This record gives sequence, structure tokens and C-alpha cells, in this order.
Amino acid sequence: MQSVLRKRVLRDLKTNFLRYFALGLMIAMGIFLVVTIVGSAETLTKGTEKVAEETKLEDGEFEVFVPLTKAECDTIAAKNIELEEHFFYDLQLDGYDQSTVRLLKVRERIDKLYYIDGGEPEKKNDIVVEKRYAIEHELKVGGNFEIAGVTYNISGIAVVSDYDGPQKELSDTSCNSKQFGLVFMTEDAYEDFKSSGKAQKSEDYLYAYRLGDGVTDKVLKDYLKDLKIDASEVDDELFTEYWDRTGGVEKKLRDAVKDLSKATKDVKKGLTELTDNNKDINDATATLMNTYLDETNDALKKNGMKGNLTEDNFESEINDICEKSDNPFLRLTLKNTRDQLKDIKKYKDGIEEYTDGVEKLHDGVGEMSDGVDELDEAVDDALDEFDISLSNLTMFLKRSDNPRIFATKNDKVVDIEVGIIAGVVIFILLAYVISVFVVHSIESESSIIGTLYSMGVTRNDLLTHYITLPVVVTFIAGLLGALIAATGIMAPMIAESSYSYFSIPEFNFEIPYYLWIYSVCCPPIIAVIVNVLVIKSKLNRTALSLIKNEVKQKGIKKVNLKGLSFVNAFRIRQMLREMRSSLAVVFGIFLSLLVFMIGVNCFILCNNIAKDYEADTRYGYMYTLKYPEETPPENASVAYAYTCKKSTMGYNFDVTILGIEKDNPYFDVDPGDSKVDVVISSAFAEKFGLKTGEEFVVSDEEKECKYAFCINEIAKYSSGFYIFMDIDVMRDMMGQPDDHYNVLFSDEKLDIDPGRLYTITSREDIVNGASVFTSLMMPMVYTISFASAAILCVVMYLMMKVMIDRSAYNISLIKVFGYRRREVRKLYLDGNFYIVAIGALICLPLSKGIMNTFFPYMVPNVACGLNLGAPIWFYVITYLVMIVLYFVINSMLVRRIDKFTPAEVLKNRE
Amino acid sequence: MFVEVSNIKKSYGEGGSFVQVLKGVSVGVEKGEMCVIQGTSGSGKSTLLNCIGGLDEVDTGSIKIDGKEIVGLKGEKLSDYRRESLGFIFQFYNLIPNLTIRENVQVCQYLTENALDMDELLNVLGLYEHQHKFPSQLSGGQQQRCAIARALIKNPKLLLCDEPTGALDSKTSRDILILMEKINKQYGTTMLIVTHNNSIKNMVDHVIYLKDGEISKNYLNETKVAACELEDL
Repeated sequence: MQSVLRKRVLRDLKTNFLRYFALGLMIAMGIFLVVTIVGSAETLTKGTEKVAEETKLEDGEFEVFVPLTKAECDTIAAKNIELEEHFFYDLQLDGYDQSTVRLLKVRERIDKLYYIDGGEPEKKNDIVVEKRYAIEHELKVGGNFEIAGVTYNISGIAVVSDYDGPQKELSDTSCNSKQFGLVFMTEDAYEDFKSSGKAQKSEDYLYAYRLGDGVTDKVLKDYLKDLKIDASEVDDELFTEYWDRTGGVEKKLRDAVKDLSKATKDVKKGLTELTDNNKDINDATATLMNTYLDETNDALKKNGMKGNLTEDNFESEINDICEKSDNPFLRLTLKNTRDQLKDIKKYKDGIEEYTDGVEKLHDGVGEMSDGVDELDEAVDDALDEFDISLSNLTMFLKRSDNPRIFATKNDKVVDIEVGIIAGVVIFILLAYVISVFVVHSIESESSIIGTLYSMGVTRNDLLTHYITLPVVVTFIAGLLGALIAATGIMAPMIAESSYSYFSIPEFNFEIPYYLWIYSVCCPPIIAVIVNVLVIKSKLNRTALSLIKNEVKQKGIKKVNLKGLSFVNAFRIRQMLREMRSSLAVVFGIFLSLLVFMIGVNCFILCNNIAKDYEADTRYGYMYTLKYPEETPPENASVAYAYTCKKSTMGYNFDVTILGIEKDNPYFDVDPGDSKVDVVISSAFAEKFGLKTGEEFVVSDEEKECKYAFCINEIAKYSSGFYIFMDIDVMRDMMGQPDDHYNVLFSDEKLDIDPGRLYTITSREDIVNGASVFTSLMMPMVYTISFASAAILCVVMYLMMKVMIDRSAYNISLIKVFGYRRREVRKLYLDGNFYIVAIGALICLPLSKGIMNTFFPYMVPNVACGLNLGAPIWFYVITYLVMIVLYFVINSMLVRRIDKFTPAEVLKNRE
Repeated sequence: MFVEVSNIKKSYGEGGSFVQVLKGVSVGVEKGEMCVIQGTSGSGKSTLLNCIGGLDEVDTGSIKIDGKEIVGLKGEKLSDYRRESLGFIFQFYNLIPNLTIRENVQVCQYLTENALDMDELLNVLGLYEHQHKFPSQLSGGQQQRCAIARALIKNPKLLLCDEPTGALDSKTSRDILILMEKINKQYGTTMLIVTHNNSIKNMVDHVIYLKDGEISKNYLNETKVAACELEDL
């Protein structure tokens, strides 16, 4: 039976060739676009991965204050970690658009050069120029390039995997190869430059590393963090000045406390010695007193007096004797003796008080010495706790955190996910469209099917028969689409924007295996699923019911339309009759809009980024400082930035805690006084789906801790993931001095020594960088928009044509009754306007809403807020375009109506 | 003559498959007449009816309806002729299945500004209580009544009926014929009825026999009987 039915398949294909051809063409085109977009993205992804492997891409890089010693390098090597010096100088050129070139030595082991043209330097003054910079400045192999007064010969044009995205600073939002590029020199030429004194900044000591089996980045980082250096080793005056004000104060403090301790001990020792002599002094004065008293008593006794003078009574006794004596000489002598004894007594009492005081001082200094010892220990403990010692490591960057590495691959993640999803959506729609045709065939062949049933043909036989053509058509279309895509005919156009932005070689377009499987299997599998679901119920009727072709009005089709005018009632009946096709039209509108919204959201996101960045960036310049000056410039606003991490959808993003002054004019934010309740930027909230009142946590990978905050307010700020705090509160939270800052915002360009800076970000850089995203995305946006418009037109045309074909007999009939062309159109076509108009009105916001919900999952790697809000005019224009497309298709279908003659009624009768 | 057919010829196909269906037919029907066209299968009776209805084009000859030539009419003018002058009744009713009975009748009511009263017509045809039902909910006879109502609503000058009882049992056929007779009398509608049924000729004013594309008999029925008295339907 199947062999007989198979012949019908061919005849059916022949009869409806144009219909299946159009559908096949759509599927082939869909596959072609999907394979081209996804294939291009995969080609770039796999290509850059392959280049990375060939050139031994680093696992990460780190920068130090002073070059590592040989012993340190050996220790690292012993940990099974390979290192290579990637030291460099940044030099702003006089010519070449005042651009900055990064001068490096030609790498030998890690991040090796991948030559696009020419080869490695052979002579001392041969150089290799990075591809994008060479293109932007029309530099060619064999040409000359002048750097700091020396003319170099360009021996090669190359790319390096650690500058896949050739951005100058890691914090740059985009690449600008007009303003920045890499130049690789021979070792001798590099050393010559180094010793020429023409460097504008100190040399950057950057190392690239590759980890051995089983070794983690953490092992290396922990080791490097523990490498302490003496600040005096750092050959950077700006650093030294900064260090003396900050970390260097620690040593001074320690030394001062130590000095105090030592001095206190010395004083204590001296006082102890002094105290030890107290008794002798007291004894000597007592002896002096007693001797004088004894001598006086002896003299009194010799003169016949008692002679019982003591220390306590000598004054009163001598006074008594003088009053009783008539001898003036004796009285005078006794008075002199009395005065001398009084002086000796006074001296003795003074000595006793002095020795008591010394004793007390000794005891006090002893206590003070103990206290200073405690102070010394406490200061040591406190300073050890804060670890103000100088680590040699200034920057440590894992490969996965380096935005320059695999920048192309990360950019293409969006293309791949969007392409695959858009493809599946298109196939589902087209499979449904095919199923409408099949159902139409089944209904028109109802009596034949009934007859076949009555002759014993099973439902599965017929099911197989009816899905054969859709499966074959979709399979062939998918294969053809993939084969045409495999020629790479459109791939260069799709990849062009990447080649003109990223620093990568041009790769031969290749389709990965999974895309072949996707192209060949996905359309027929979806066709089988959709068609089986739709057809099965149609074949469930009894043989007799099918033979009689009973058309029963069921459910909603029996709706009472008594109050309506004839034309409106007719149109509604027609819509209800063609519910399946009408649904397909609405479904088509919805899905094509869904596909369109993928492109639209890409465009809107980029456009909003450009617009919002421009609106939200109020400062003219943002300076990120390596070594801030003690006193910030007057015309700048200080801030304190600290970078943490937060993950979402498998990607780890930088989140900056930004301490700002309350009167900061550049952020419309009131940071409050809380360490916990904070204000966050709208970009941060959008990306991480955060709401006011929610709590969230960010990780501090440097300190290996986490910070939890509660969202007090979401401030409109699109240019970065920020947590805003009051600068004083943040300084307190981070244990920084009251005057600490590391970021400056200003309207005007500031006169800051370049050596103090990590980066300067101008408003212009931010705005220009944001607009780059738009131009990068535009090829895909155009392709998707065109594809979705094509889908909409084809689906609308095919479905409305099916509606008309299904009404062919009725159209002929009313023509028999004398209906004119305009009236027929009014009844059978114009009703579709309402389907399209209402369908589009519902589907437009619905598809946008759904895509807005799912879009973040399509662009999980994009480090920006997801402002997908579209202006009202976008909806109006899209709606009008759909209506215009409807009218174009409507006018095409009017001709179809004209083809139905009244004679159709006679044919049916006969 | 209300219907004036003069020497019309109609052929189909070419070469070996060439068939001359009408070979110079000339016939006239007076206004208000009920006329039956009979003949064996392939005699050209339906072709003649279709040519008069403007559904088919003649090769040569002339067809005048109420003095107006319709041969050569195209497009909108042909549509206007059909909407202003004709009503059609088919063997298999040809109702639009997704419209109710009333809506099916409205299809033709819409075409004229001088339509008959819908409710009265539905009452006359016994369809009033079924007016909001769909065709699939009615019997064959009821469906044919609906087709008649649809044809009559615009009060056509000429009613073309192609085997109007061909799909009905004898009782229902009689009911339909009685109805047609009543309409003819009530509205004075000229009727051209193509039928295989030999009994119907007894109730009409004018009988035409076609044989191999030519008129073999053409006479006025002097012994006309009422439809209700017809036998062997």
C-alpha cells in the first residue's frame, strides 16, 4: 500500500510544487542564515581557540613592582608553572594619530605571535606590528615605522591571543585600534629603547604564565602575594612618594614605639641606680646631724651643762640655755650652733624627701616601661593584623577574567545562541504551516481517505503517507540550505564586523558537525512532531464520516451572530471556518515577531547602551589612580573604588563598590550613611535582576571574603555595575584612612602625572565605545530583520492563500450569484485584515515581552545593564510595516480570487 | 419572449476529444413561464442552462434575457446580469456550510436593494424556526428549501434550476415542486428547470427536449397538472 501511496506523494508534490517550493525555499533560507550566522560565529570561535592553542595562550598574567628574582622564578618553575616576561613600555607617538603603542619583546614561549603577513624580526631593528593597528595606520610589511626617533623596519604583521580584543586597558569598554596597538621588538632593540631614556613611563613588569597539570591559579597567586619587597627596591619615584605617605608610615610607627620602649628602659635603669644610693645619702646626712649634735652636747657638758640635745629638741633646749645664761659670748655661740643645727636638719629632711621622690619616680618609670612594652607588642600585633607590608604583586589576572582574551569568542556567544533559537522558532512555524496544507489536503481528500479506510488501510499508513512529503521537503530544504551555506557565500559579510574590530586572523568558513546535524535533522524532526500532532486528530474520524465528508459546525463555530450585519457576520464565520489558518497567520506573526525581536533587542540594547551611557556619564574624565597625590586636585571630585565579583548565568562580572562624596556632582545618588543599605546602579539591577529591598552578596576574591548589602535604592546609571556608598563610610568599612581615594572625576582634563594613573576614561571614550557595539551587531540585526519580514510575508501569503483556496468553491458560488470582485474581496480577504491587525496588536507587545524575558539568557556574557525598553514609535512603525506588508500580500491574493470562475461550481457538480 | 436563445453553438476540447455539445439551439420562453428542459445524459441540457446563466460561454449565437443580449458580457457586466436577473438552484443545494440558514439566504439578499421580506420568505418555505441552524443540521429537503429561499430573496426575473429534486426523495421532491409552483404563481418568476425526472414536465407550461445538442421537442403543455397531483416522482 505504501508504494502505491508514495506515487501520490510525487503527484501531490507536482500539483502543489509552488507551495512546497516556497516553503522549502523558506526553510533552506532559514537554514542558510542560521548556518551562516552560527557557522561564522563557530568559525571565529574555533579559529581563535586554535590560534590560542598554537601560540600557547597564557593561563593568566600578573604584574609586579620589581622583577622576580631568579630564585623566585625557580620556585615558581618548581611548582610546574611556566613563566615568561612580557615587560612593556607604553609610548605615545608624535605621529600616527598621537596613538599609543605598547612596546614588547617578541614572545618565545607564551602568547607567541601568529603572523598574518611577513615573519619574525631577523635584524635588530625589525619589528612586528599588531594587525588591527597596522590596518588602521596602513602599515605594511617592508615599510618603516618610527618610534622615539628610531626608524624600524616592519618584518611582520601579527596577532597575539592575549590581545584578541586589543584594548589598551583592561577597564576599557571597547577597542580603538586607531589609538592603540602593539609593537614587538627584538630583545636588543627593546633594551636599546630602555636605555635611551625616551620612555615616558616606567616599565611595566608583566609576566604571562601557563599552569602545569593539576596546578591552579590560586597556587601561583598565593605564592606571589607572599612575596614581600622593601619599598626602596621599587624604582618609581611616584610610588615611593605614595608609599611613604601610606604603607611606609607603618615602619615609622614601629620604629618610634621601639625607640620609646628603649628610652623608657634606659630611664628606668638610671633611676634604679639612683634609688640604690638613697640609703647612703640618707645615712650620710643622719651621720652629719648626729656628729654635730654629739659635738655640741660634748661642748655643753664641758661647760657644766647637761648636754642632752637631740634632733628633735635641740632648738628649744638651746633657747632655754640662752635665756638662763648671763654670758653673752656663750649665748652668741649657742645661737650660732642652733642655726647650724637647723640648717643641717633642713638639709637632712630635704635629702630624705629627694630620696623618697626618686623612689617613687623609679616605681613610676618601671610601670611606664612595662606599658611601653605592651604598646610595642600591641602595635606590632595591630600592624601585623592589617598587613601593611608591601607585596610585590600589583595585579593578578586569570585568563577567564581577562577581557582581551577570547574577546571574539565571547562576542560570538550571542550569535550562536540567537541563531540556533531563531532557527528552531522558524522551523516550528514552517512545520505548522506545512501541517495546515496537509490538513487542507486531508479535508479535501476526506472521501478518498474514508474509502481507503474502508478498504483496510490503517491510520498509521495514512499518517506515514501524509507526513512523508513534509519530512522529505524539510529534509531536502535543510540539506540544501546547509550546502549553500557551506560555500561560505555570505559568511565574509557576517564576519566582516568582527574582523574589523578584533585582532584575529581571517579564518576559512567551516561548519561544525553539530550544525550539519541541526540543519539536516531539525527541520524534518520538527515537521514530524508538528504534523503528527495535527494530522492524527484529523484521521481519527470513522470511515463513513470521512466518505460523507461531513462538515459539522462545532464549538465556537456555532456561535450566534444574530445582531451583526451580514458582511461582519460572514467575515466572522469565515474567520471561524479558517480558524486553523487564521491561527497560523497569528502564530506566524507572533513567531516572526519573536525572531524579529531577537534582532530588535540586540539593536535596542546597543542603542540604549549608547544613548544611556551618553546621558548617564556626567563627568568629562574619570581617572583611576595607581598612586593618588596627597592632596587631590581642586577641580576634581574624589571617590574610592573597590572591585568585587558577582556571578550570574555562569559568568563572573566585576562589580565596583564606589564611595562617593555626598555632594558629588557626577552621580545623581544619595549614598546615605549605611554600610549595609546601599544604592546600586540600574545596570547592575537589570543584569542581576535585583529589586529594591533585596539583599545580595558580592565576593572579594583578593581578600577571600564576601560583602552582603541590602538595596535601598536603584539609581539610574547605565555605565557599569556599581554599588554606591558614602566615601567616608566606605573608607571606614575598608579600613582606609580618612583621606583615602583612588578615583577622580572631573569636567576638565586634569594635570596628573601619567605615572600615577591606571587609566583615564573620558566621556567621549565611553560614548564612542558604546556605539561600537551597535555597529558590531548591525549585520546580524539586518539579517534577522530581513529573515523575520520574509517569514511574515511567506506565512501570511501562504496561509491567506490556503484560506482562499479552501473557499474556492464558495467564492465561485457567490460569483454565480453575481458578486463583484470588490465584494468578494470584502467578504473573503478584507476580514483577514482584522486577523492581522488584531493579531499584530497583541503579538507585538507579547513577543517583545517574551523576548525581553528570555533575552538575558541569550546574552549571559554581556557586561552591561539590559535596558531593552523600546520607544513607542518603534511599536507604531513595526505595526504599520506589518499592515503595509499585509496590504501588499492582500493585493497579490486579489489576483488569486480573480482566478476562481463560476465554472468551479459546475466542475464540483460534475 | 423573455428568454430568447438563437442558434447557439457550444463545443469542448480539440482534435480527438472535440465534442459539439450544442449544435445551433434556438428556443424562446415567455415571461412567467415554468419551463422544463429534458434530455438524456450528455444531451446538452445543463450546458444550455449554464450558457443562459452566463456560467459558460457560447461559441456562437445569441441569448437575450428580457431583450438584453448577454453573449459577450464579461467581468462586472456579467456579474451585474446575474445579480439583477437570475436566481440559481442546484441539485446539491450548494449551501455555504459555515453559514446559518438565514446567513445563507442573506448572501443573496445582500446583492439587491429590493429584496423580499426575509422572515416572510422563511415562513413561506417553512424555515423560520430553522433559520439559525447550520446546513449540516437540516435534512436534504430543508437544505433545498434554503437554496430556493436564497435564490428567491432577491426576487429574480429568471430562476435557473439544475436538477432541483435530483438529490431528494419523492415526498420531499413533491414538496419542493409545490413550493416552486407556488412561487411561480405568487411572484410570477420565470423558471427554467433542467431535470431527468419525467413527471415534472406535467406541471410546467413549456417543455423542451434536447437530444445530442439539438432540440428534438419544444411544446407548450396544454394539460398541465398541479404539483401536488404529480405521480412517480
